[in-house]
Amino acid sequence: MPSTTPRFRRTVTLITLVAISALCLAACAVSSPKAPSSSPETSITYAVPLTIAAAPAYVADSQGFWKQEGLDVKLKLFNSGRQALDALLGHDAEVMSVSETPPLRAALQGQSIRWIATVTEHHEAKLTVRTNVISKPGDFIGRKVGTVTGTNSDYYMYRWLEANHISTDQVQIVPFTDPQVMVQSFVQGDIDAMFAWEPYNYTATSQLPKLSASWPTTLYSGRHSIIMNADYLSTHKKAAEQIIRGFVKAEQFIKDHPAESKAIVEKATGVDAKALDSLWADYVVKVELDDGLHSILGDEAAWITKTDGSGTPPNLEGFVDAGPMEAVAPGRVGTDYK
Amino acid sequence: MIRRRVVGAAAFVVIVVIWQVAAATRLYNPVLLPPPSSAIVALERLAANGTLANDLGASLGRYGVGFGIGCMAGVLVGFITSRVRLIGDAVEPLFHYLRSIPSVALIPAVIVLFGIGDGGKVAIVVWACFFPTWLNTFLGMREVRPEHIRTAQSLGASPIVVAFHVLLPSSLPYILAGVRTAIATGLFALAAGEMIGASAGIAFRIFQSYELFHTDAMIGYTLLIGAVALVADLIVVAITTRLAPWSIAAK
Repeated sequence: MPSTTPRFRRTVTLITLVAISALCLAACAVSSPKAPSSSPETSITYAVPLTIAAAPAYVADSQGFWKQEGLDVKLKLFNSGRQALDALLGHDAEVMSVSETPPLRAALQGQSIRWIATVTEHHEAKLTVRTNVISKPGDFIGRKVGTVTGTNSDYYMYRWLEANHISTDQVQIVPFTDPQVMVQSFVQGDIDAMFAWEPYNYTATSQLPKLSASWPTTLYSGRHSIIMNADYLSTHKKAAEQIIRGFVKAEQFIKDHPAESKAIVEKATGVDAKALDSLWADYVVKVELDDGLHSILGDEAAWITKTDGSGTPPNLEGFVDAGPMEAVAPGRVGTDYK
Repeated sequence: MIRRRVVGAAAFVVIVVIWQVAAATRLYNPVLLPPPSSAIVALERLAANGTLANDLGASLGRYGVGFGIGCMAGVLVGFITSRVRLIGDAVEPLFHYLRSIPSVALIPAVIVLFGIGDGGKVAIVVWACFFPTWLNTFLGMREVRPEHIRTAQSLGASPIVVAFHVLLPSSLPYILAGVRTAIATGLFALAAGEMIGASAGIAFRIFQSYELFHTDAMIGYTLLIGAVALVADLIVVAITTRLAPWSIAAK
């Protein structure tokens, strides 16, 4: 029996390692994207951020509304909508929900995603000011204004400044990457105003009850949007319909049982009961694809392309797939999406 | 030495090629993690409009000041705590406790103490650079053999001469190893610091590009931070080779 040399053994080991690596890569390539499931109860992962606007998702999950529809939904919670969106785009989730701005940016970057519904219309993007220095829009000139770049409250800031005839050069815009850091800076007086969403505005005003106020939002209302990957949606129309049916049941439950719904949201998000009582009216739960969404997406897309400097007029054709909503509740689809 | 450099460069090339191929064959979603070629194009675009120079200048300014202050303070305090036993015994447990606190956890305290200006960002970098330099200086000075110190003293050397001609040269390899560690810890801290209201900076732009879905720029800046660390490391190794050629870092 011929003995093997160390060099031969090294070569064999190397070839084996390369072969195993190639097999692993091939396996990854085959397994992504995931093959459509043919089982009677479809199992999906839903990536959801911790926000009051996602109340219908927490309620549908806790009350078993999707189970009743034959859908096995696993909720995965994320600190931000942007992270939840990454889970969808990386095919780690089949559905996700977030306010319209992050997915709109993704869609404008060429990501093949679709709106199948909006579940909450909210007025959570607000302007909070230090009342000792700002009492009217004219007081903004020269002031430091905090914003979290890329969010819908950032969009609201530009809408508000424009509506009040204040150019971005007339104020000192201080961009933050973390809303909690922005709240701390506001409370300390490092910035004079901030555009944020809830519960951050609430946190700021609770810490400075006599020195701050959140101004009511009239210029903009956001939509908590239900998003799916286009490739998954094309092969799982029924699952999309089941998701929407679960949301419609959740909408009814929230209307009928507000106290119980708040308790579910409190448990899911960690926002305390007092804050929820104060903020609940800012969120109108309604499962739909209304014409307001069409107008918001158009306006925000125009703003994004303008601020990005691309200058290309956005083509929003096909961003919304009204098919599943039409199948479930045609009356909830606006004329723009008919 | 040449063989080592060739192998090191080859490893970089292999990783870049695998990454590029994986993105081109859509083994994963390339919009979430664009390939190096897209990152380079994004950096070229940002260089052309002046954003890159602005961000690089802002970050290097904060990093340079913080790194310099942190390392100098680390050496000075390391020297004092190693030579004055009472002070050493008093602060050593405290410093070991403090050095394990992550920079990002300091953000609330830094905003309270320094506000949202550059002072806070520099302070976080100082914090992160101080402890590795202090620890290595402290250990290096304590490792100096007592007979070397006694020999110098018996020859009439003053405490200052002993410090500069015995203690410092003997512990130099340790100090430079600490400085080398501080290069990386300082950059981690810079990333945390630029989360505090900034309008320019490499780490700030990474977070901002992520939110804006400008992932090509995000990856470009991430690679740029790595390049900054690599250049800084090469500079420290070159200094080490010149000042302490016997040390492991120089080899």
